[in-house]
Amino acid sequence: MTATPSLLPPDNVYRRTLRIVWLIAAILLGLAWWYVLSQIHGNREREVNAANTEMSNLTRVSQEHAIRTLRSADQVIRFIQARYLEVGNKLDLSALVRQGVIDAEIFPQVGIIDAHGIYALANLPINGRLDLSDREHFKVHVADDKVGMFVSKPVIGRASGKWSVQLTRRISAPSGEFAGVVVVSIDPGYFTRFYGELQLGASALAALYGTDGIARARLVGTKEEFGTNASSSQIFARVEKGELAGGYTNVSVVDATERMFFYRKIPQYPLVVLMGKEVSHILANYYAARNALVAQALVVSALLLALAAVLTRHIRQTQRAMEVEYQAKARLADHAEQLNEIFELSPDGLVSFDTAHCVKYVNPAFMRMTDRASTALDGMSENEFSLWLNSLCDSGSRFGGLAALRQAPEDATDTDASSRISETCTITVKGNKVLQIGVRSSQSQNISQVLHMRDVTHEYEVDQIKSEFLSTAAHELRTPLASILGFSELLLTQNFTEEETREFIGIIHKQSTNVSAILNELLDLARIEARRGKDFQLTRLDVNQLIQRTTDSFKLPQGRNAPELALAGKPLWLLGDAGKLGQALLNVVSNAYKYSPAGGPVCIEVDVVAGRSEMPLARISVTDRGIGMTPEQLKKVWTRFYRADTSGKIPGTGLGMSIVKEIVELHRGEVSVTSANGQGTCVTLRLPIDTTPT
Amino acid sequence: MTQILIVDDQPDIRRLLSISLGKNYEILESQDGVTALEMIKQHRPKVVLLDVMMPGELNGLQVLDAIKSDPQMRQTFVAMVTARGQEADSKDASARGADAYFVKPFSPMQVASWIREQIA
Repeated sequence: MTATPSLLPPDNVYRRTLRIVWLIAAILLGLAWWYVLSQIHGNREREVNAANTEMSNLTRVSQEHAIRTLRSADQVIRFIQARYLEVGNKLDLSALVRQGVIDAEIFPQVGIIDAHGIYALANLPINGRLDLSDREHFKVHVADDKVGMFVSKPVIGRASGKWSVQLTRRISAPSGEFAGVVVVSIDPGYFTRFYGELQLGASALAALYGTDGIARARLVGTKEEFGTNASSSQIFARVEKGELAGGYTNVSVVDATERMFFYRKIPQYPLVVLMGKEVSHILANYYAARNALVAQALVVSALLLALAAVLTRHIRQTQRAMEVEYQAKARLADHAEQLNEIFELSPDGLVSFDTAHCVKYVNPAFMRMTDRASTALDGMSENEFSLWLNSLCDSGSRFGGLAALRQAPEDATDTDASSRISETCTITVKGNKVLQIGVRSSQSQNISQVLHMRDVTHEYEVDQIKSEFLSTAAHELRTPLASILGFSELLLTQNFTEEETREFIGIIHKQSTNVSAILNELLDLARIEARRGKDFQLTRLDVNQLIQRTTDSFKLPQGRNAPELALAGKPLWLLGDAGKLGQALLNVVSNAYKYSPAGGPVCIEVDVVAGRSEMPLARISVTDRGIGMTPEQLKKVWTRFYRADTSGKIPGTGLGMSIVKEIVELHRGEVSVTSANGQGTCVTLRLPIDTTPT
Repeated sequence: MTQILIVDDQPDIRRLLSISLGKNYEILESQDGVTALEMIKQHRPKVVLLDVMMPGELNGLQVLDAIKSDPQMRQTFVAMVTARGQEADSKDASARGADAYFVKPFSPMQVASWIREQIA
């Protein structure tokens, strides 16, 4: 039986698996990155939104701070205005400041500028006569009483040397005449310091601009600026358009820093508060988080890819391993199949036994030889098997059993030490068969021994025939020897007449010649049989010439005529040994004369006939008109040593026809005999004509 | 004179035995088993020298059986004179009642001396 190896998954199964693996990896990667990117985007949005909110809030705070400060300043101005209107120049500003009515921290300097522009009153001593009539914060009120509180541009005070912003209101006389200006100075640093505490970041910008574009106070990073012109900023145009608050992001032309801004107009005053945070500062967290997320995503990606790569390698390895295994299995299966076939087809019978000495496998040849169904033998113990085999044997030659066979001495002719001498036993199944049985022990793990059985019936029969032949031949020699021994003994021990002596010596001589002839023919026959025509010297010869030569060399018995020849009209070519064919022909011709002692013609005819499969044959017929043979004698004509006439009148060994038959058959021809008792005999030789072209 | 029947298909053997024994005994000859039995019944020879391998319906052993199973012929001394020289053959003949077994080639003198002993 053959083992089918497990089917190897086709290559595309592996490729498909790999594709799936990588597809999943790609999907997971995609998901991971999508998630990360959306997170990042979300974060950014959140940060931006948060920043927006913060900026809005901060500007609101700053706005309110500015408003409070301005209203506080306005309150102070109004108060001073009111008091001045009450008490005039007797107003003691420094006392007010001392008393805390005026907050000196915020408003370090307060004063009155009279209608002519002269600094009339102040909380600090005035040195000399200060003409401030050309100041914007004075001039603006002179003609117009609707200005309200004016916020000046920052100037470096002549008195203090410090930056200040003047907040002024018109003093109007009861008549409505211009009576001067109340001025409160405010340190613009107050704002910048406030902005500085808001923790806007390193490169933040916070400013209080006038709608004229001049910064009243500006903090850029840690640098305070007062009075810088920022009219190019978009906020002024926007405020003019009516957008009183808003946000935007731009890159500063000055320091190339991107900032997110928010501005709010101070209501009722021509002021705008602007705050800007550095975008990179705003996004610092975002960047950090983003980097972390990206790093994580990269790590995850790397892991995924590594996993996919590992899986790929694993799958490839598995595939290769399976292929190797498949190859090995295929080789094994092939090997097993080969051995199985050999086992199944072996002409010798084989039986293997397992380690428990029970029958394992029986091959078909064994089944045939013993005419036994396979299933009945499987698993039989050694003993059962021996008994069964024994039961098939002839009583004359029993099978001694496997155990005995194993004990037998080693076969001297077999150099393989593991074999044992074979027994032969005759088995009576399906006609007498002679089977030679041997046992070989095995060193393998699964097999203890193998029994082999060979059908040697033919060899046995041949041996039988040979020994029969020999004994027959020997036997045949006894009879002439009996004459030789007997008569010679008589001659030696008794006296006889000369006539009798001559007669006896004649008999001795004749029988000695007979013995010699028998021996020669025996040897001839034996040689011909043994060599089976191998020593034939094949030449191309003409049948007609062969016959002519034979009849020429044949020594005619006394008084007899030469054979009548009816040869073929043209040459008939044979491929054969001229000597041996001549000998055969001679035997036949000799017989023809021997068995027609009364005389009569001996005819030799040659013609062509068609043989099997239309191959042409040369037919040589030798006919005599002699004593012929009865049907019983005819039947035995081929039997060796058979003599139709044992009277001794016709000489012969009984081997002549055997030799003829042997020679003719070795030339791939046939010989046949027809005869009628008392009328004659015809011996016909048929030999194939050589058709090869010359 | 004591009669001896020689049964053999070979003329030379018959001649040999005839010459060796003819001086002292009356010799009868036959060349096959059937004729031999007839002659035994007719002439009642004292001794029969019997070949085994003969053509015809009866071979020598069958003739032997016939002689030894017939109460009237049983007394005849029968010696097998044959080319069959195996031990099994002589034992077989012995079992069938043969009185002697001579294997060819035989010594005529030995045959003669055996005959002398039987008759005496």
